[in-house]
Amino acid sequence: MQHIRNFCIIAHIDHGKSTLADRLLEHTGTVTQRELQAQLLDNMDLERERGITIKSHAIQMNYELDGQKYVFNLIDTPGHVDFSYEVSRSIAACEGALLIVDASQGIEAQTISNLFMALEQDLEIIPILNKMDLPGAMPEEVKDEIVDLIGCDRDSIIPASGKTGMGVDNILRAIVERVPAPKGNPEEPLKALVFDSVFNPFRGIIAYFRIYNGQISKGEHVKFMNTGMTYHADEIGVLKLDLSPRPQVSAGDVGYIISGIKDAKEVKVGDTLTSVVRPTLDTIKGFEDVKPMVFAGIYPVDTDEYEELRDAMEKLQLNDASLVFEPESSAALGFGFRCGFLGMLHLEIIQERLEREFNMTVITTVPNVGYLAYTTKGDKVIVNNPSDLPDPDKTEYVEEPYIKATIITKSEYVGSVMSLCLDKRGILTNQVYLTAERVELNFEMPLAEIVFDFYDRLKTISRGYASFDYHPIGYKESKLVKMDILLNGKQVDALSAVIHRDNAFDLGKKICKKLKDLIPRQQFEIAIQAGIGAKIIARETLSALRKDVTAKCYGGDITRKRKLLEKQKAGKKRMRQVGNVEIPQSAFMAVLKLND
Amino acid sequence: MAPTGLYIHIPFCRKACHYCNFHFSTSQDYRQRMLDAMIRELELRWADWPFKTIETIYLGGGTPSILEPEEWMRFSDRLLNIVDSSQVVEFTLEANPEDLQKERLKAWTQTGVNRLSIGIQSLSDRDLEHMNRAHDSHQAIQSVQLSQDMGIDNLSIDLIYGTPWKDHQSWEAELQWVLDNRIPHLSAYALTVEEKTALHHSIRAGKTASPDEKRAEEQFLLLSQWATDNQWDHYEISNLCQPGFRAQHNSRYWDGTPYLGIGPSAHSYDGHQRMWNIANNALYMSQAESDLSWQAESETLNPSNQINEMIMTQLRLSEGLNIATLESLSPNWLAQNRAFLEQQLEMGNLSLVDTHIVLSTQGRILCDFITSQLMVSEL
Ligand SMILES: Nc1nc2c(ncn2[C@@H]2O[C@H](COP(=O)(O)OP(=O)(O)OP(=O)(O)O)[C@@H](O)[C@H]2O)c(=O)[nH]1
Ligand code: SF4
Ligand SMILES: [Mg+2]
Repeated sequence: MQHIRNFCIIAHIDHGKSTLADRLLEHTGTVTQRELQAQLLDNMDLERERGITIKSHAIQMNYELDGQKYVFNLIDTPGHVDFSYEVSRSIAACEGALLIVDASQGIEAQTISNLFMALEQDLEIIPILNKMDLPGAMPEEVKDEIVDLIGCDRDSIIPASGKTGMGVDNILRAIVERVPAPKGNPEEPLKALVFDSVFNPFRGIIAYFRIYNGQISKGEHVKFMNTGMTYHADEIGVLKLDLSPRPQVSAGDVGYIISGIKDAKEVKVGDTLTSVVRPTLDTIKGFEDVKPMVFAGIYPVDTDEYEELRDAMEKLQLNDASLVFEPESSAALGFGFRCGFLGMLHLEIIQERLEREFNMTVITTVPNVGYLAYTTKGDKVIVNNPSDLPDPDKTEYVEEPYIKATIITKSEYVGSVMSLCLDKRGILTNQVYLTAERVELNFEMPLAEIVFDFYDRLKTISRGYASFDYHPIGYKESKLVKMDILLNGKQVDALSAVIHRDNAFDLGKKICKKLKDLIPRQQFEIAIQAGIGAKIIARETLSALRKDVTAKCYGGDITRKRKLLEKQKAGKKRMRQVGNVEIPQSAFMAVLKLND
Repeated sequence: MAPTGLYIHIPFCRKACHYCNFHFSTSQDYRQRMLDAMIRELELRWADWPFKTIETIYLGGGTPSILEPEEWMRFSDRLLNIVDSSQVVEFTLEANPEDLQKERLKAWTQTGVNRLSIGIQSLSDRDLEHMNRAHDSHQAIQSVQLSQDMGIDNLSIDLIYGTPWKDHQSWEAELQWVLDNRIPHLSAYALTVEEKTALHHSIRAGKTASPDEKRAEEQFLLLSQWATDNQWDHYEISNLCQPGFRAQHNSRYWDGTPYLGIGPSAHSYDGHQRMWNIANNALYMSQAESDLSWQAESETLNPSNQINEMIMTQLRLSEGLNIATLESLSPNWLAQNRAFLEQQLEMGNLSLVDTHIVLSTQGRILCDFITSQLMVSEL
């Protein structure tokens, strides 16, 4: 065990975690030159396309230093806020963390939040100043920031570059010398933490674990203590580039188990794995359930595909336990699911995976946060769908979730960041200068104000020089109302939204305008109205389709025109009819893009 | 073997009209080289073309009339040496008014051209100027008279309506002028803003107003009424003629019969496949000269594409869409569309004539909308 090192790589998004992991894999000979490709561990299609890490990835490496052989278990983590729970799980399986800071950017919001997660678990932090090859690197300034933040020795910071390979040897040596070897006793009963699980269509559920005490052998009868389920370990092994079976995995090490589990619910990440014959007495403190931050309805475009959608969602959940859903129905959209997501990126990813991995075409409704409504009768109602909001005369008050936002920016943008946050109903709680030029600002804000376009606007007003992180801090009472949308007098339930009363007129007007652009003209006039209760607060009129005919239809026009009309036809199949009005899919997400 | 049509694209124009998205160049430097390349293409493709009986020839563009008389003589000589034109009944050449001079007309008639399609577009100088046309209204009127004087009575003219500078009165006056001059065929196009044109650009920049839909709609109704009043055959949405003067070559595009297209950007159709040529003069020439393919793309029409083309083209015709043929190709079609058809029938957008769905004048204005509703998805 003295020769095992378990560590994760943490950083702000895009600071170069996965690229540096490539260099470590290369230098330790874990992958051959042929296997090597940029951000090798980002193996999901979506990760490669978007160039970001979505899921943590564990991999084992062998390394020799001063005549001693070591086994490294590395876990690369995502940097995006939506997936910070992935970081917290990875941390639980490690003794050390490489904290990467982009030398041209400095400390950013997720650098801080991920660092604190690691410190809470007493991980040894190895600070790394990455992207030193960039002409814009500011090693001295950023070192100052790091020293201030961690209180470490200036010389303990390793300058590196995932691009040129600079510093990689120093990092490998530091892992051996500075990350403590795991403690634990291989002779004691098996006690392992399940820190992740993935679904493989051929092999079923594969659970990843970190052994604290004891050892696990192939064929052993094992038990997941929380669920109480027992299995035979059909296959165990360690995580190389592929699964690498072993007869045994021992205390201190990281490994996987395949035991014929087909149902995702049977494996709870955070559970303790032990032996049936010789169980451990204490369970490991697991993880808190990840709580969804935004909710949206997902409906099949083709109403006949409801069961297929359920199937697809269940399969996705196998790989992504943070996705929650329950059946719901809508007058406009039929049967579908109300789903909970970690954030907007997560929502987008789920939607995309449904479309491409399961070939489902879905309509996603306007996302909302979860509210708490207190009725005059004294009941508390959880409102994850605007339609569930009780009538105003039966409502005592409504609470909405608040967050603490951390924003790090350059001092010249403090003014615009402040006014953006105040505009979003934020309250400034703290302001600290990290250096003469860089400021950390803290706000308390309603979650609803930041889930949609906040981050984009923040980036725009700060010309990219602002990073942002948040965590929930509970609920607060707010003046919230439900705004309904009516098309030719008929309410479209899937377009209702809970909004702050002070924004109602403005938002009502914007959404009516937006819908006017998105709904294709039909053979009659359409009144688009926004209302609160019985009161109409905004109206637009979409005039009837007057003229829709191509002037010329000769040789070259025919193919072009046919394709266009065929596309229109296909688009119509994806529309929903409410009353006599056909609504395109895009309209249901309209609220998101109100500022375009 | 079915008879075929031959289309020749002459990719040169004197000046770029603001609304035009056809393929052409205003640089005349390499005209001969281009004509050589096109002859080369024709030689090679004619050898493989299965339909050897040519019934129609259409010289389009661009501006075929831009060729000098000798240039035309040489070109048409080589052309008619390759293909057998003995069965040709209609030989059309697109001409712009500024090109209509005696020598050219003589050269054309000598080589068999028996029909001209003249790009009049408008009789208002303001209109013509805004379109950036190379001619004025005087030249327009002259060109028709000269053609007739030289013995070409089989004329078609193009007119554009719905422009910001054309009111209903001038539109009606233009239509009256067509009658007065015994012009047997008229192509009347609503001004359309195509992407990547100067007009599009100017509208986006806020320098020109978008065409007024209401005006175009009303002028279409006027056109339709005019045709009825004068017993003209309004046989296709944008094409009208005195009975018996339908454009035979262009009708191929709507009947689904084969045509061979030569020259940059030209399209061909052999009954199953549609192919189109590179729409870039320099590239087209260098490919043709090195005996490489001048083809840009081709598509094989699957059964649903074929049905959809049939729906799209037939609905534009006064005979309408043949339900019987359609049902034999796509048996559930009528059942699937009955509700929509009944609704449109009630709204007066179409009528049923024998087994054909025929769009009313009102329905023609919504032709694309109705077409896309009636199209089939992948079979
Ligand atoms: N110049 C330079 N670019 C780098 C370096 N390391 C990474 N990059 C680039 O920075 C971008 C982000 O790199 P990743 O390795 O995907 O970053 P990450 O931290 O894993 O990103 P997330 O997992 O999405 O948080 C990519 O475009 C890399 O090519 C470096 O040392 N120098
Ligand atoms: S409209 Fe005719 S003349 Fe004008 S640019 Fe187009 S092809 Fe040339
Ligand atoms: Mg990454």
